[in-house]
Amino acid sequence: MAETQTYAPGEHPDLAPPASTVGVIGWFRANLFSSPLNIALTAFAIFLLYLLIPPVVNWAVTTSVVSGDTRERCDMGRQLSRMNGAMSLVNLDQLGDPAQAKAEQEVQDFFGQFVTRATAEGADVPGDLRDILGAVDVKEVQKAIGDAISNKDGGALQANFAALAPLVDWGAARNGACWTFIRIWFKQIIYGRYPDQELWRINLAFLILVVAAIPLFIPQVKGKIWIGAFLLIIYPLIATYLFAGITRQDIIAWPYRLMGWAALALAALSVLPQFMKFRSWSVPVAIILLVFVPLWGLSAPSTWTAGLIYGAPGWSVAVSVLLTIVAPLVAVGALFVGGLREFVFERFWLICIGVGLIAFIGFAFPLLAWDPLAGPSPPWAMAVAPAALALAAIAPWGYDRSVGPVGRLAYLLLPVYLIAVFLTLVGPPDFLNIAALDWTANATPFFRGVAQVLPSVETPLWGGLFLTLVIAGVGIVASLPIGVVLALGRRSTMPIVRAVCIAFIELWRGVPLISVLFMASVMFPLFLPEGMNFDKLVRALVGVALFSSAYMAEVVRGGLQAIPKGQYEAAEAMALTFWKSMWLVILPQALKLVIPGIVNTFIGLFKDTTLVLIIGLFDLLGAVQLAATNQRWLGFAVEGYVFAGLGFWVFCFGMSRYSIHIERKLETGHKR
Amino acid sequence: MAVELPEKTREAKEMTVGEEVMIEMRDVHKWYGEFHVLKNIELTVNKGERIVVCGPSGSGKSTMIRCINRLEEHQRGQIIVDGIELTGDLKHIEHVRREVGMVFQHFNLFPHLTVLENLTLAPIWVRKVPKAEAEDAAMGYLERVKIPEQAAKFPGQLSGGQQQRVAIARSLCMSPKIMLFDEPTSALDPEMIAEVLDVMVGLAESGMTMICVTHEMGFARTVANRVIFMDGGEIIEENEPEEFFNNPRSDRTKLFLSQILTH
Repeated sequence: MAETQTYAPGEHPDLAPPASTVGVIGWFRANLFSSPLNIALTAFAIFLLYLLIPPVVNWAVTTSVVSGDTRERCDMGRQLSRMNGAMSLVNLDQLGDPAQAKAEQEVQDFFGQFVTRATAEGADVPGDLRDILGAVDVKEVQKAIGDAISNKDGGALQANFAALAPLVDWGAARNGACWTFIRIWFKQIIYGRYPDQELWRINLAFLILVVAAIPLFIPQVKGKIWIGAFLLIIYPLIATYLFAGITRQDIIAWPYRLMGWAALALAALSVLPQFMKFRSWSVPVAIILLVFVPLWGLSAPSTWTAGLIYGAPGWSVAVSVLLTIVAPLVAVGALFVGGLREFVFERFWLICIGVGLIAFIGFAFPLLAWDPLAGPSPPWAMAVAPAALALAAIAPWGYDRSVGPVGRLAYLLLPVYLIAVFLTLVGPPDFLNIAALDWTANATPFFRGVAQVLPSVETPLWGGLFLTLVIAGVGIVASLPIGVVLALGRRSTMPIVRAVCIAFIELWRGVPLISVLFMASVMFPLFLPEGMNFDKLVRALVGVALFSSAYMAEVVRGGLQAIPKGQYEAAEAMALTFWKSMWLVILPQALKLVIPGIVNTFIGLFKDTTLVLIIGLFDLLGAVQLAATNQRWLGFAVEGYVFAGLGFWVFCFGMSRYSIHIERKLETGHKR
Repeated sequence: MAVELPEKTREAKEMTVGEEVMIEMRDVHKWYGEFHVLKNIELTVNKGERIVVCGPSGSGKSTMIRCINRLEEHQRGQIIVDGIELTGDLKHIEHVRREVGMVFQHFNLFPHLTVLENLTLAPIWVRKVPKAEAEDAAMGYLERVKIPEQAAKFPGQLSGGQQQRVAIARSLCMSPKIMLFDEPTSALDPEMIAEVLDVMVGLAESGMTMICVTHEMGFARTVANRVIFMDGGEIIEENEPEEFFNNPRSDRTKLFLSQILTH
């Protein structure tokens, strides 16, 4: 016994902890053998592992078959081991006993199948089996076994069974998993029906992703935000181009689309500063609506005449007409009420923005979705919306000139934008005239070059793990920001914003993903006019993204609720605006708190992608199922599902580990 | 029972500080639903004045000073801060909040940011000060509150007193004209109260306009120009510290003082 030392008060040194509480021994004592119950549980767990692991390893590794170009090696191994199983049931002294008639029959059947397979012309017989077959005349043995059983000659049967011993051993070593099946179908399972000579595009895109993402994991690297921006903004464009390639039609349609997008973006850019600038919303909002909406109303008839000729959707006519009537009323109301009670507008401008947004979407939607190749391009769709928005932007300019740098930029860009509108109005230059276009002769070398480098690959050819990653990736990347916005909206004090967000969340959360996908694939096209078309994959992507963002919104809301009120107040007290305080103070904390929930949703989404099978897209699981139901490869579903399961597990586990890594990295020690 | 402050006293007080009125509250009322929390608050604070607000819990002291930077909305009357009236107008509110710093009972530092980032956040994002400049200024304020060596740490790694000093420095970084303190020492251990009060006294000596809700009567005696006693949502008594502690006018004040000073 160590003697007890005494120290003067205040001079007791720090002593080392007892040896039995630290190190490996300490860990085992604390975790595995701390109490009788714990010891019993440890023993039980070891027993369970003993029961589980050897058979699984045996099936998946020891007795599995990997080689071969056909299923024959797997089949032969299985037939022989089934035969062996039946042989062990046959009692040599009681041949002919009805009780073992089934076993006797099975021995003959399985062996017969093996013999047929092994001796067939061009059979895929590996070298070691060929040696055995050279030593044993299996046809002879087959006949002898048949005779022995029918003669009830136990001795002869035993002798023949003994002759089969090498074959039985060979089979026993090959009756496990048939990985040949996976090997042969591997390309299908990973890439779907993507053309062989184009596979490098997928690989290249993946390589770019990996190379770009690696620096994110290295703490020393600076400027991660730029890498993140590249991955979120530039990379999707590159990947889309690589995956989908480009069609001749695309080459013609894209200038239109780009012009449309540019016009809309510029219009939005020039309108936004107005909204940012004025804190008393009444006047600018009213002016915007007063100018913009009647203009729209005037343009509506011609718009819809054109629209109807080209088959515009009836519902959008109705929405337009409704807004044309409602919005001016709102605007007049805004001015009127604004004179009476200012604070009404703190709520009121939201209504107006809501109306504006609906209008914006109403225009942007046909503009962006309309395929210019489907018919004569409807110039209204290209021009009316941007023109109206441009006027809307100019109106408040007259009211207040100090719109800030963004606004000034927008007005500098106005000429560019007007040229774009003019071009869309006048129509595309001749060289883009589809009817007259002799592709090989007339296209510019650049376009021809592009088309040759990356021929279009239609989305129905996409599949396998590749498709799974595309759907899950888009869903994951889109759902987080949308979810955050929805969560903030749901906590808003502004009733309309809140109501819209709640309705969105509850609607999407309340329906099964299958029905969402089914609607997207089957019902949605019925509501579209002829000539307007979205790719089925795009529809599924949108469905999946919106569906998961509803879930994400609730997860994020949980995080927002966990942030103490003092944090909001501190941010407010230092004059941060709502969006700044959210972005700088609240969201970084809230999102960190709910990382497990977010990753949970991501993982759920990743696995839910398998449901796209219902709309005829073949993801990883779909591709496996397709392979397993192939006429020539029936019977290997287990291998297929195990492989698919393993594939999903690897990705989900990876996400889980990454989330833990992030959580540790963001730990700042404030929860002591 | 509201006590009318004699005109003479008020005038005398105003002479000792600047002429410029920083905060003016006129007939301010506030309700939480049916509950009438603030009743007829009349208060004028001149530039450079140090006001201490005390009173039993639930008397509306915190609510009153939170109205000054509109963390709480008042429903009747006028509050004019730095010449700007607080209404629903977000632009006005933002302007007032830029000029009014606030220190909270529970510090409310941002736990995901380092001390330095806590200090530079508002100057960079609200005042648009360049980052390097904001950091220099922040280090200056950290030295003023005597913890420059903690700049790279996270708030969770500091003691309560250090956190509160960081919170004070964070408010000062916005170079406010007015500082509001909402029971800054109530959540602290006795040892730490002293270090925070030290900083506050230093701030007072520099001529900052301050309104401080606190029960630190020593601080009130040495620093305040005026002490305000609130109860039941009303200002019961408003007086110079010497008078307030030695000759309180109302019985309610006497009772309160006897309760807190006997211990």
